[in-house]
Amino acid sequence: MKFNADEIASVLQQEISQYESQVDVREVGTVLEVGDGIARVYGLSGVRAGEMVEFPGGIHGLAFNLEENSVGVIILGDYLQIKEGDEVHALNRLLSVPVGDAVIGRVLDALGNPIDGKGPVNSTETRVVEATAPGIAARQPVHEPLQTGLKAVDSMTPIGRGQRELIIGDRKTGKTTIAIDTILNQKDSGVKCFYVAVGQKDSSVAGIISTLEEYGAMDYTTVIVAGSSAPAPLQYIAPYSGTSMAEYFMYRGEHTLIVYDDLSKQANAYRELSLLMRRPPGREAFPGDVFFCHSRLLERSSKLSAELGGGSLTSLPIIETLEGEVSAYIPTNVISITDGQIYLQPDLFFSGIRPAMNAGVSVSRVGGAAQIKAMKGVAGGLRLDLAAFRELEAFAQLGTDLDPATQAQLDRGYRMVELLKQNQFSPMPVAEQVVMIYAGTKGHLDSVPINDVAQWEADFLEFIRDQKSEILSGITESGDISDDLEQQLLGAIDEFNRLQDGIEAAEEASDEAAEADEAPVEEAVNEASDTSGADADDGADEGTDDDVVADADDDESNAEESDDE
Amino acid sequence: MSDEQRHETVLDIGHQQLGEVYANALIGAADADPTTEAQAVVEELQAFVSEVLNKVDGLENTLASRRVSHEVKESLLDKAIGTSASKVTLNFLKVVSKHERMDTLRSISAAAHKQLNAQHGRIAVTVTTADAVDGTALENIQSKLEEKLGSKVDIQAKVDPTLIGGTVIRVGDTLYDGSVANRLKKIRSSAKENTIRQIRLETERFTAAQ
Repeated sequence: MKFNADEIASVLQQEISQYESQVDVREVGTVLEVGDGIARVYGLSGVRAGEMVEFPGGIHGLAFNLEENSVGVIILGDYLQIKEGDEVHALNRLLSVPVGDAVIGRVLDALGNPIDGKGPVNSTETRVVEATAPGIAARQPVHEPLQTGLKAVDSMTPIGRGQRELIIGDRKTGKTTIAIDTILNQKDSGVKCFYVAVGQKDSSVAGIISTLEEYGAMDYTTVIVAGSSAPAPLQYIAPYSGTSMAEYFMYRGEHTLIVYDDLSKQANAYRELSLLMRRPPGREAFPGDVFFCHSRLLERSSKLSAELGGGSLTSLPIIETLEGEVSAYIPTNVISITDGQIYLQPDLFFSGIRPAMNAGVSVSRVGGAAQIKAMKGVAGGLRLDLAAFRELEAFAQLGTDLDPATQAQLDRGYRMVELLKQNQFSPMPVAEQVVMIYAGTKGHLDSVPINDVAQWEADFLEFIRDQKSEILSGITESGDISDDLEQQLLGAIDEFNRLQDGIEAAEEASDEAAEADEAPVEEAVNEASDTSGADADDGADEGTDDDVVADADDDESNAEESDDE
Repeated sequence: MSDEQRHETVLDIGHQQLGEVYANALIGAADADPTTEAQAVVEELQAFVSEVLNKVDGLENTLASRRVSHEVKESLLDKAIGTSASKVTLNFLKVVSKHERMDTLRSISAAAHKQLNAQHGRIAVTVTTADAVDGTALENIQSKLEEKLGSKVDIQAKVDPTLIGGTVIRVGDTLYDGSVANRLKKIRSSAKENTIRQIRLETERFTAAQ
């Protein structure tokens, strides 16, 4: 594309000829000192708290501290260009960011400027960053589910549209993964997603964006980045900017999801600003209003009343703890603000239980209201059962004799833990989750060796998708498991188990045949896979499956032996 | 360091408060003395700061230093301004020197000026122009401003060639900017914005035929 210089010149000429000069009246002050993202300004006697000011070179700032003799300004931009003695003038407006459909699919900085190299954001509307939260009359109770696509979350700590669910855990425990999986699962659900990266490494943000692109999630997602190299004011403001962009859609009656990754970094940025502004430090050197900083942000997540269009803003704030210390200042603050938390534990994570959610400590205060009936029915007591299992497991490790009932509870628990494991970036539709959790809680997995649960799940889901899809669609449509559907499901499980037995029998037969002669093996395998209708991989897996079964048997007998001791 | 480089009000609250106290005393003393006008004394003090301290290198540091004894400073002041300054001003400087507060002289001068303005109900106004303006033009500006603001004004004229033309008038923290430099800046930004907007709206109009 080549621009026509003459045409541009004519527009410019027209502009200049139409320009009417007026005396420019503005409120001014002088920079007394500047550094570390803040400036102290003398003058600006009429400036209001939170008002925007402009430095030479078009750099903007926010009046943060109004003092007796000076104004403390946080600088949103390159503070290295500002010198002592520079003129500052008040802009008489509040900080606002571009909103609307144009921001969807973009990567923006905390002020709404594009940083993805895809040109300017073509939006005509803006919204103030520090908007107030909807009041009581504007809200209604949370009642629709926001499916995360994670079995562990959707079954035990369901999240409703308009809820605020904290994701908390040490570093490297999969906090971001839960949030990203949730965003990926919003595909085709019409929920607009906003991912606010505060104080993150730019390399990890780039990784997240490429993941979102790879799974087609950038079509409905906006990423707001204030990386760890961004000045503290931008890190502080980024969550508010993201919320404003999301609120625009909420007030239009749409559903939105926002992830703040993470608020502990934002609190640190706010602490830095406050200390530089000489606000008195409190606990852990955080300023006194750090609670308000988070509460006014998270209070903006809401489910609007039907009169206002019924839109919602669900938020998933993330908090990073140090050494599992949830009783530190910021974690306790945010726990008390949010409607529940998903607590991720490093030892679970490293023992291969991913998502590494601790079922006992994780809660959702909205609870069953945010689940479809079918899920409520099958997963009702799951969280408490798992928490009880964890206690029992610790007790069982002491090597005491266990009665059969306890042993059965332990076995069920091991299988449920196995069943709730899920790979990253593979969110699961809610109907499939219901089917799997039904199978697990009703004891249909008790006969499956622990190490085979994942394989059983994959095979069973494939079977039910291919041959019994009416069960899945029935659950999806009605949102409930009727008696009729339950019977169908039971029948499907039986049928699948019979098929599996058939395959195993065929495998055994083929094994025996293999000892005698090589040739018939293939025939037997082919027959088996033909009858089952399952994929041909089963034939190839058979040997290893048997080995695993044998290993598991060994393990069990070992365990029994040690029990006897 | 010249006065220009310093801010009119350096944010040193201690100095500012001390300055107010001494300025109060100075104006009180001048009012009590029937031979002098407070206005004249304050102007003398300002002249001392702008003409003597700013122009004689090292004098300010010498006067402010605690290693130089009060007697030496006294004789220094006598020799320097003993003949030209009024008795009140000279005595005042000596008193300040005796209290080892010569370092706050600038704050005192600024505070005295402010207090005098307040006493007479005058508003301090800074008029900046690209070229120096003569007395009649300044008087014109003054009468116009007094009419507009509804009170007497205390005009301080400044010259800043970067304005190119026009006037910038500052009343308190409000700036009335009628300078050519500012107008050019405004034209530039509005022309740029509008052109970008038009290009965005009708791209084909601006693209040359291949």
